[in-house]
Formats: sequence, structure tokens, C-alpha cells
Amino acid sequence: MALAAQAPTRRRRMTQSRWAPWLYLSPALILLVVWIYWPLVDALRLSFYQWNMLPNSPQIYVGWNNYTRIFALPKFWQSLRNTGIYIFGILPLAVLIPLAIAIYTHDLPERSRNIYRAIIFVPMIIAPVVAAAVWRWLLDPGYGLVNQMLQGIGFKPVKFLSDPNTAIWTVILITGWKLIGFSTLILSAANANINPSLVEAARMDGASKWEIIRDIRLPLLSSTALFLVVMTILLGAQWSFTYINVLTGGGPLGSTSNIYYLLWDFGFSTMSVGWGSAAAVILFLGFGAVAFVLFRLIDRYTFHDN
Amino acid sequence: MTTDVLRAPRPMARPLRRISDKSGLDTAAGHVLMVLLSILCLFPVYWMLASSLRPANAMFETSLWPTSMSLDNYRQALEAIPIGRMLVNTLVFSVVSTAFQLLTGLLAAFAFARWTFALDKLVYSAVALTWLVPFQVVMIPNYLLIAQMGLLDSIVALILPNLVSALAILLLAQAMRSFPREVIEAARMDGARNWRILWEVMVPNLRGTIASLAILIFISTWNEYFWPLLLSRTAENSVIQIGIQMFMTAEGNQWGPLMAASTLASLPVLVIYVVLQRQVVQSFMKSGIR
Amino acid sequence: MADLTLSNLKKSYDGKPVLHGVDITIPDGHFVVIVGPSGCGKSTLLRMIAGLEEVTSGTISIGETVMNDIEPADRGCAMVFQNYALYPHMTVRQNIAYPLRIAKLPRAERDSKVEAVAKILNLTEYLDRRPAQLSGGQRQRVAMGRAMVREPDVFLFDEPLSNLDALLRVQMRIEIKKLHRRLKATSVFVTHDQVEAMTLADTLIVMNAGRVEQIGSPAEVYRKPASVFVAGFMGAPAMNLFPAAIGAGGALVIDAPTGGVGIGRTSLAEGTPVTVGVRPENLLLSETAGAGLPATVDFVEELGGSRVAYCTLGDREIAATLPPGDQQLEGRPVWLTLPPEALHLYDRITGQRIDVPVHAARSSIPSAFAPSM
Ligand SMILES: Nc1ncnc2c1ncn2[C@@H]1O[C@H](COP(=O)(O)OP(=O)(O)O)[C@@H](O)[C@H]1O
Ligand SMILES: [Mg+2]
Repeated sequence: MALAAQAPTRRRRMTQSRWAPWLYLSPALILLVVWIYWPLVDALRLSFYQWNMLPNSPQIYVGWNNYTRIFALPKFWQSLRNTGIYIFGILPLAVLIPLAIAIYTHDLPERSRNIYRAIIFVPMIIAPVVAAAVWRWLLDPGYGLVNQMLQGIGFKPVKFLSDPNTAIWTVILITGWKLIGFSTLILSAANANINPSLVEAARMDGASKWEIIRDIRLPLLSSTALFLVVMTILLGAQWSFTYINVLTGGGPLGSTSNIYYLLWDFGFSTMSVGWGSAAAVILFLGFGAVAFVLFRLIDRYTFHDN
Repeated sequence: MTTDVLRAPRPMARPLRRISDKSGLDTAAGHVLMVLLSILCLFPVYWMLASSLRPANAMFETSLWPTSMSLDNYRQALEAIPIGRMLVNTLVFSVVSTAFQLLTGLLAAFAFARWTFALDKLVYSAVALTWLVPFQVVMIPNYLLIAQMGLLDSIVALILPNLVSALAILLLAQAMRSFPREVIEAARMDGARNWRILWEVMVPNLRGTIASLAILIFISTWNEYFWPLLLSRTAENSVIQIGIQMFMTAEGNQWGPLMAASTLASLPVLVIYVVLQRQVVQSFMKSGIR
Repeated sequence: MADLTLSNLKKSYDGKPVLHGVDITIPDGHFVVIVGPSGCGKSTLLRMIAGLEEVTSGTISIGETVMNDIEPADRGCAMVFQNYALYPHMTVRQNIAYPLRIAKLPRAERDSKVEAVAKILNLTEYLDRRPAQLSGGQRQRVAMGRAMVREPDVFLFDEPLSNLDALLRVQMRIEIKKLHRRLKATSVFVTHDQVEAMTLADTLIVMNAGRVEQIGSPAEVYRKPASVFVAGFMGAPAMNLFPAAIGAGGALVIDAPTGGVGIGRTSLAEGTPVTVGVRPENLLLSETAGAGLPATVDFVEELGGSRVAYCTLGDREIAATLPPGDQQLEGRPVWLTLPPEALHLYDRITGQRIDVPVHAARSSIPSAFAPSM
């Protein structure tokens, strides 16, 4: 045999693997603590103080004052209600319509599906600020294309963003515009992932087209749809933040403000750290509770198609 | 007795139906639906591009195709704000954030995938939870921290909270866990220590996941608005998203330059998208809902 | 010198014991096969030798060195995994060379070693392919090559052939045996396949539920299974096992439809509860009425070179091997003889072999005497 005998090797003891994982974790953990966990604690502390963010002005302890004042504020309840409107307004755009489209278009040929896919995904990668700018231009009451076309067919121009009755729906539609293609893709992918032999089996059993949708496709899509619903409930109002900030500033008359926007408003427009922090704590607890319930629901109602 | 459900007579003879072909009508309706959706999704982007190329006197025309083209809007936008500088800032912000999120993510994910250690599940959940903390909740303390460091209005301040992301850690940990354990053990038998296993065995085999994650982080960071909004004081130290916003808060709307700036801000991402369309879509679909 | 010694080796996962104290000494150069049903702890044992699992208690030594907490790479062991565990992103050449690269061998030396190994394993023309471009058998050989190139004191194989199809498995089995003759390195080979075990082993170790049941040459293990478990596990079709009793004068009695039947005579005390075993190939089956115990053939399995008849004797099933032929037996009454010299006796309580000879029965026992079982 051509192989020569190896020299006796040095034998290393097994390294203490007790510390190794922490070493690898430390950069991430330190950063997460500094930028998320410590700030959470700090927000909780600051929520009991009154302070205007200037380094040399005093922090005054005010106990639960910030909380009671916020709860007494009509603006808070208005924003909370608007948060609900945002979520329920976005749901059809982010889940229902895409679900219908995904089911309806599942047997389009591969080639055209790919083209549609490439196109309807575009809004997802467009920056929210850019989307806001473009829609602001399209919806401009004087010269925007939409209003010009409305006038062209004999309507009065609509003040999409400055009418308190329509502004929130305009922001919802823009948020939905960013999401609708993406959701459609997710649901189409889930739909395409349904094991074709299930559908074939149902056909062998004599199920009609509609029965296949009702008994096979919808149940098997339900976990993906439910996931989208949960994400929309949790994040829908957050997604709208940029549009509110850029397009309406929460107005007119607070009609488009939601809880995230209010938070920003407290913190950085009025420079009231205490209020901002108290609102943050309220938001965090509310958000946590909702998230907890929703994830329990997902666990309960999701089943897997293997 | 176990006789014999299977041999029982059929409940009812069904009428025999012909195999229904895929009805052409349904497919056509599907196409119509998709074309409408495509127009809805693409038209605003097209309109941005078209408007940015219209000369000032044709700004309010509604013809779909600009009758005459000019780069005036771009010139005006460049004069109004330091767009070049802002694009470079955005690029630095995005590239550095992406690199660091990948790095910290790979290291942490490796710890989760390679070892079981005391508290590992707890730490993993703690990481996962941060994915759900809305940024608005921690923005004030973060802002104060940056202010204390004296870093307000700087690119470094933009980057600092973006050096780590739960998403990167979770996604990479998932990918690493599904990597065959035996291959890692083979590497250990071959004499590779952890550092080597991570970089010579894990990383080369996770290239797909890493690339798709990189795309996702880069695009999200490029489009980031909220955090820069808090920190920005001067245009020179801001990102392009803030630049666009500056146009809109100005008195009156300069639609032309606004569309030009928006186009410039979108171009890098659109170019990436055109080149890597499949990967971009996939990486967002895997994890990009946030 | 690379004797591999395991003494009182134990392993538990979260307090749940998986290995209950294993003592084995494997002399230098031996090919040892550990065989046992899946889940019995074979892989765990092998991975402890390799250093991939921590030792709960006991010691592992190679030569004079206690290896319990030595790095896997420094134990002088190389391992071949069931699913090959090749590095997917490296070529065959890089895969085989990787241990040498880590050991910082100079390039030229590395290349020549890789070439030499590739030549032995007939891999030379595949050196620049990646694992995904290889067949199962080729991947298997690359895994072997990566182990060989390190020139280890001990080769560890964890069911390396079980992902191959039947034909290839036989081929690789032979290749591994040849390779061992050539390299003469201590080898520990884990499998649940008894044919593999019998054909490869110098020494066979039968394991069950975290314990060693028997250590011996394949022939020994086959001829004198040390426990009921080994008796039932080694051999296909499996040995027939059934309860029996010791009657007056050491008579060995089983119950048949006709009542208790003496089938032999032993020196055991009356009342000892025993299990009797007899291999199908040692059973004599006759169609002549009265020649042994009456039974009915249920079902005949055709194996080509022989046939196996599954018979019902009372309420138990007994398999008997028949020479090839085509007479119709299914459903027919037959008579079975259990030759006393081919019977294995086991303590029914401990399951351990009772090594006493069985002689022919003097006479048949009256049925009234049937002992209760
Ligand atoms: N990492 C582990 N954690 C807990 N139990 C394990 C682990 N690995 C193996 N076991 C258990 O140890 C027993 C032996 O497993 P193994 O050695 O893989 O068996 P074999 O290789 O003989 O099939 C099995 O019951 C298995 O469930
Ligand atoms: Mg095993």
C-alpha cells in the first residue's frame, strides 16, 4: 500500500462546549439587548416620568399620570378605532381578494403565470415613500390622473386625501395596493402546492369543480390564509404608517391617525417622552395580547398537508 | 362479521359524464383577471417613470405616452437636494446593515443549530420575540441612546440598531438545522473545529439561503423610512427616502422633480429585481411579509 | 497497537438509560460487527467510540489511552455514515482531501494520498465530480475513501450499506471485506442485517435493548445462541421457540393437541421452566401418519433453493425448511419430528441458554400427565 504510516498525533481534550454557544451568540444577543430589550425596560420607566427630551431639563416622576391622561384623551380612542378600521379595511385586500384570484387562476399556463407573477410583485419592492409620492400625484385633486379621468367622465373631483371621510380609505387602498399582488403570489404558491393527487382523488369520487374548491382547496389553503390574516391584524396598521406620515400627517382632523402614528406624534412632534413611552407600553401590551391569542388560534386551527 | 362493505352493491348508478375539458372560457376569464391586476400593480410605477420624463409644460397631460421627453425634472431634483450623496448614504446604510445582519445571524444561528445548551429554547424564543416588537415601541429609548452617543444625524446612527435582525437569525437557524447533522459530524471527525465547520461546511452549503436573505435585507433597508425619519437633520446625512419626503413637504408640489427623485430612489431596487426576479420573489415569499 | 476496549460503558439521554454497561475488547486488526434490532443502541455505542456522543459513565480506550474526552478527530477513528455524509459543495477530490487539508499536509503529499486512495476504490475518474453527480455505490466509496485517507487506527461503520440496493450491497460487502484484509485496521461495523453481520464479522456482537447479548464468532453465535433473544434474532427463517416443561426424570415435555408430549430427556430438575428452540432446517417433516407430532401445513413459502412450510401445531405456528420440490402441502396434515440433538434450551425466566445435552426420549408420556404451562 502506498500510504505511509502517520506520525503519532497530538491528542486534544474536548473543548469546553459549555461556553462555545454563548460566544457565537454574544454579538447578536448583545445587540438585541441594547436595541430592543433594554429599550423596552427603559420605555416602561420613562412612561412614569414627565420629560421633554432635552438633556438638561429634569425628568419628573408623575406615577400613573401619563396613562390616565392618555386614556382620557379622545385622540387616543379615535386612533384606536382607526387602527381597527385599518386592519379590517386591509383584510379584504390582503387576504380575501387574493384568495379568490389565486383559486380562480390556478390553471393558467405556467408561462403566463410567471409573467403575471413578475408584474404583480412589483409594488412589494417599491419603497413606501415612493408609493406614497406616486399615489399622491395620481390622486391630486387638481391635476392627478385619477381626478382628471373622473372629470373626463363627468364626475366632480374627489379630495381623496383631504376629505376626512375618504382619507382613511385612500390610505387603506394604498396599503392594500402594496400587498395585493404579494398575497396573491403566496396563496397561488400554496394553491399550486396542493398535492394534485388529492384533487384527482376527489374527481374520481365524482366531486364537481365547485365541490373541489370548497372541500379540497379552501381547507388546504386555510392555514396560509389564516397566516396572512394574522399578519395583517398584527402588522396592517404598521404598514400604513409611512402613508399616513407622508400623505396626511394623521389628519384631516385626526381621521387617518392610528395608534402607531399617535405614538410617533406624542414622541416626536410634541416631544413628550412620558406620553410617548406610556403609549408605547400600552401598545406593546395590547399587541402582545393580540399576538398571543392569534398564535394560539393558528396552532389550534392549522393542520398540515403532508 | 367483517363482510364486506367493499363488496356491497353500489349505492346508485351515476349518469356517465364526459371528461369536461378545461373550459376555454374559464381560462380566458382568469387571464382577464390577472391582466387587470397586473395593470393595477404596474401602472403607478409606469406613471412615475413617465411623469419624471415629461417636460414641465407637459406635466399635466394625461396621454399615456409622454409626447416629448426631457431630463429637466432630474436636473431640478439634483439641484434641489443632494441626491447623489443621499443615494450613496442609502447604499452604505443598506450594504453595511445587510453584511452585519448576515454575520451576526450566521454566528447566532450556528450556536442554535450546533449545540444544545442550557436555556437554548428560552434564548431562541427571546430572539424570536424581538421580531414581533413594533419598532415604534422602542423608538424613544433608541433615539435617546443615539442622542447620548452624540450620533444624531449620522449614517452610523442609522446603521447601529440594524446590525442584527431576528429574521436573519431565525431563518438561518432553520436552514442550518435542516442541514444533515452527519455531515457536521463527519467534519468533526475530520478534525474541523467549530469556526471551520461554520465557514467551510455550513456557509458554502447555505449560499442559496444567504443570498435570498441578503436580497431581502438589502431591499428592506433600502426602503426603510421610519428610523431615518427620526434621526435626520440635514439632507447630506440622510437617505434617499427622506429626500423624497422633503420634496413633498415643500410648499406646493413640484411633481416633476418629485417623480424624478422617486424614480432615482427606486432604480437600484428595480434593477436588482429585473436581474434577479426569481430570487427576489422567492426570498420575499419565504419571509418578507414584515 | 490499537486494541479497542470498552468497559462498563453506559449512556443515558436525559436520565433515560440507553446503554446499560457494555464491556467489549476488540483486538487490534479485528473486524467486529455489532448487530441488533433498530433502537437497541448500536449507533449510540459507535458514536460514543467516535467521540460524537458524551460518555455517561465507563471508559473507552484505544491502545493504552483513555479516550473519553479526547476530540473526535484525535482518537484515530474514522467513521463511515449511513447516508455517506459527504460535503455536498466539494468535489470527490476535495472531500477525500479535507481531513488532510485540516491536518495541514503539504499539497503534494495530499494529492498523492488522494490519488492512491482513489485508485484502490476505483474512483480515479470521478475525482472532479460532486457527490450529487455520483451513484449511491460511488458515494459510499467516497465516504470510505475519506475515512481511509486518514489511515485511522479504527474504522467505524454505521450501517454503511443500508441505503444501497440489494445487489450493490452484496458487492460492497465483499469489497469492504477485501479492503479489511488489505489494510488490517481494527473495524467496528454496525448493522441490523444479519446476513451482513454473519458474512463480514470475525467477531459478532449481538445487542438488544442496550445490552450485549452475545459475543462470539458467527458460527458460534449461530450454533449456540446464548439467549432466547439471540436465538430468535439470528437466522432466517427464525428459530422456532416455545415453552416447555421438565417432567419426572428430566423429561422434556411440550404440549401438543394430543396433550403433553415428551420430546427428549435432560438432566434438569423436574419443574424447571424452559423454552425450547429448534431451527426450521433441523425440523423433520413427514407425511407419514404417526411419525412425530401431528400438525397442519398452513402456508408454504417458495425460496427457490428451498421452501419453508409454516405449520400449525395446536395453537402455535412452527416453521420447517423443506428441500425444493413441488408437492402440494398447503392444508395437508403432516408429522413433525424435533431431533433431540438439535434442540436449544433456555431458562424461561432469565432467557439464558442452558447448556445441557438433550437425549432421545425413552417413551412417550401419558397425556394425563400434561403439565400446566
Ligand atoms: N439524541 C438522542 N436523544 C434521546 N434519545 C436518543 C438520542 N439518540 C438515540 N436515542 C435513543 O437511544 C436508543 C438507541 O438509539 P440508536 O443507538 O440510534 O439505535 P440503533 O442505532 O441501534 O438503531 C433509541 O431508543 C433512541 O430513541
Ligand atoms: Mg442506528
